[in-house]
Amino acid sequence: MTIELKSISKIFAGGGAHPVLDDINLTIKDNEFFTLLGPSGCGKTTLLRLIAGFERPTSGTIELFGERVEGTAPNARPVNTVFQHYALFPHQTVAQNVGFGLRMLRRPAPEIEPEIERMLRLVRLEGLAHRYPHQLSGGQQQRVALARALAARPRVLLLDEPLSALDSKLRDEMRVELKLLQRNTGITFIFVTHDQGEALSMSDRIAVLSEGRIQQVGTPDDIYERPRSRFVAQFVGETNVFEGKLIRLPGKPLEFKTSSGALLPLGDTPADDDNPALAFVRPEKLRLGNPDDLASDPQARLRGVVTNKLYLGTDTVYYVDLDGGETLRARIQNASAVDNRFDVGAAVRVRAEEGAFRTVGRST
Amino acid sequence: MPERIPVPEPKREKFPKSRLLLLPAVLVIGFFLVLPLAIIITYSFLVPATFGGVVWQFSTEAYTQFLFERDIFDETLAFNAAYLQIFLRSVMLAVSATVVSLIIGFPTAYFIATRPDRQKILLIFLITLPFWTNLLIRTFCVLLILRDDGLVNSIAIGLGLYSTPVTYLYNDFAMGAGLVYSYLPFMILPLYANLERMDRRMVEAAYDLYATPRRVFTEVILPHARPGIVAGSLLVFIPSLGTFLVPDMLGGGGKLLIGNLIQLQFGSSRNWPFGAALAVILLAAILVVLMLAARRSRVPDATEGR
Repeated sequence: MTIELKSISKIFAGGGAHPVLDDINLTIKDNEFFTLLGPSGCGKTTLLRLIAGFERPTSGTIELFGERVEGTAPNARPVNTVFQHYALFPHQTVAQNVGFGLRMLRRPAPEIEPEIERMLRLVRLEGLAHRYPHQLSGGQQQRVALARALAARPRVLLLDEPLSALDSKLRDEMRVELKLLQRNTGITFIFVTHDQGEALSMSDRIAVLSEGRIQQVGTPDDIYERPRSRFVAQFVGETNVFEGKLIRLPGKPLEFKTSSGALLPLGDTPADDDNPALAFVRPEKLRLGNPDDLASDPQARLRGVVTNKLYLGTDTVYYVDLDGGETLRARIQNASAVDNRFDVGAAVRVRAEEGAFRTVGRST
Repeated sequence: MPERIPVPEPKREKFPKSRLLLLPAVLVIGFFLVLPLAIIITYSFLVPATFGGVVWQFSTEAYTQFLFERDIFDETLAFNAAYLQIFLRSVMLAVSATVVSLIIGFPTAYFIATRPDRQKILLIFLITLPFWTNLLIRTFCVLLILRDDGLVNSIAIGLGLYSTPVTYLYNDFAMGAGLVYSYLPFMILPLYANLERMDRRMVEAAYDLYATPRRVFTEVILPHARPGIVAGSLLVFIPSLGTFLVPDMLGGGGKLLIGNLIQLQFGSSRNWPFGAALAVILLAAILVVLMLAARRSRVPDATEGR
């Protein structure tokens, strides 16, 4: 186990009794790409700063490779950080920035030089060793920050929203590069982001945080397909949510009756003691069809009218007002040019793939 | 074919109107800086009149007088270090005051810069508070605090640290203390402005990359603060070098500084050209320091490091 967090709480002085982090328990494994995902203010950056050593927990323990480190200074932890706005040293060249950690560790100069070159090759900045940070583009600065943090060979690399300042194209490229880098170096990455796309595409596992608490920990697939709370279902990806209650009839499959009276076929089997009050479905798991063609289809019992559509190129998002009153979004892939295109005002039936509707409790 | 619409040629004025915006500044600088400076330089090359003022006759005597003494009888020149000593003493005192101000001012500025915003405003307000009082009165207060039956001695004797009053006044220590007290805000304010802009994450990054607190200071904070240190040092050094109030009141007038010497020439000595020459020499010395400082505070620019 690389990192073991046990009942971590953090209350800032002057922040009243309101905890920034509340009873966090987390285990991060070796060589894992682990992501802390949550909206701004959820405590994810504070959690990262606790691991780096910039902050101390109010209570709880942090173990790094089996050793408790709550009182250990940042310069005594085998952990390095890539900061959100890079925090490069402006008066030092790229090479000096990258070599900083090794210099501080008092490695002999002949050892540092080739290491700097190796790092700059790794992040593809070979020609820029003698530039100053302000002479570089945002993407280049980002890679210098990465090389600087990796040069001292940390066992854990912490990344605090490192892609947030880049434009979208560069961000996509860096996602691939970061993932490759993590796999090739075998270093444990702990990545903080509010962008669910980044989290899903890069992570081995994700912890979703909200208001200082961990909502769910799991693989990207777990988080997306089997969210365990309304927050996770709505924060990660797009969701249609229905309020209502579970219908249990002997001899029939479980169904969910929405507050407007529509019956939804359920894909999961909730535990007995858990009385789910919310059902949800991802927009891409829905299909639209002509009401007459699907009249006999048991998976297509929802009827409605298209009230709006957004053409996105790869997909089209249809807004359908159901007969009961709820509005539903359906994301239809434009796989071929002749795919059914419904106009605004068209009456449709909504067909859900089997198992598309899932439930979560109301309270969570 | 579409009709061509004639585009009016932009008027190229020989003297664009926008330059008129500079006029007030040019007038003020011309009237209150360039003109007095020209008068001083001119006067330094003239002959003193008996009861003050000048005789319009060219002479370099004033500058000669700074380093040499003319024999009363045979008019031969002999080297005289007295004025040079006064000059060097002034420089030494100004340097000491600057160094002490830096040692006191840097931690103060760093402390203020790292407080929450509301405390910062209050603390900076407190730093500037002494400026609300006249310098003369503030210097007099230092005198009251340091004199034999003053606050420092009373407290020390009251605490039993010693039994007979220690003389703090009328020596170099008193002058240094007076200068540091007067000009410390000039050190703190530019340092604060500089340190307040520093990205705290940079300090964390250095700490994260295995730097000890001492190396965080030398490798990250100090290079960042250099322009602030240079600015603050100049703002303390320059007025300290020219001071005449502090040596008059706290130095007891026994040891002259260059400021007093100049004051004297325009006052009781009635040697305006010599006073003017001393002022020009002081100005030249300050210009040299400024040029050195400009070099030191230069930030690496785009042409470097390619």
